[in-house]
Amino acid sequence: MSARRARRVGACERGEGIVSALLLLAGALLPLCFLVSLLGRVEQAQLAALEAASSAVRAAALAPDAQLAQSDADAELAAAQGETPALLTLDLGGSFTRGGELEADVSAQLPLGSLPLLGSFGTITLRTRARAPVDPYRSLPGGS
Amino acid sequence: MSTRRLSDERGSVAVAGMLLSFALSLLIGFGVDVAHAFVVRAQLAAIADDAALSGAGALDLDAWREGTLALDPQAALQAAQDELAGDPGLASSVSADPGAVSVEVSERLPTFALRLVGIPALEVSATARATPETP
Repeated sequence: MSARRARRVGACERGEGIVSALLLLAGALLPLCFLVSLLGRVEQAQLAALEAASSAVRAAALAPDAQLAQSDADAELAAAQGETPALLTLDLGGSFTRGGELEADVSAQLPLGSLPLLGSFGTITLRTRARAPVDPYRSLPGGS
Repeated sequence: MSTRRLSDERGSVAVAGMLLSFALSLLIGFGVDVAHAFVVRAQLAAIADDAALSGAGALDLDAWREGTLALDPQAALQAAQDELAGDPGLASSVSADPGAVSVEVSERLPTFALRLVGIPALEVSATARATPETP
């Protein structure tokens, strides 16, 4: 290869590394970064929902009566809401009687992602459940 | 010919990038496996708490009439096991004595990325212990 031809080939390859790196960045690394962020938020929301369900149902089981059980559970949910960007909703069920069992279903609606000026797009809904027994020897209004 | 091939660096960034992406994907996979294990552990802890609390409600009424707060171990064991029956698929062990009921639940989690380095599953477990107390 002559020196002139070698210089020409070298000139043709200038910038190839940058182009490859940009393609890689756009095609692999940016999606990976998005995925890491999403997975982290999903796990965090799942843990927050689980914690909310456990503490809400336990607070409800210890409440003096059924109405306060719901409000105590709601208060626990509100406290857990402060720790996650996911929207938590609580459905408290079961029987608030001596020896009965309460069940809290918490669903967490998590935005998939958000873009500046465009807001969030897509949501994932995660569900968790926790149960707690009502003490069989406790006193309850009406003796139920 | 071979000297020219060796000195030709075209595509080297892409190859390095692919290797980097693969390594990153693997690391992310490890993270997913470990994070999932933490979530499952929290679920198991909630299940164990519930079962232990159910068992702790089985008081020994004869002992209570004599002024002692104690559990009926057989009834406590049964109550905790009945509660755990609602979650089939979990390995569990329950023990009870007049002073407390203890529950251990465990689950074997198949891994996603850790199996590539010879860890096909993670054993996750949680324990809970409940004792009767006067209010």
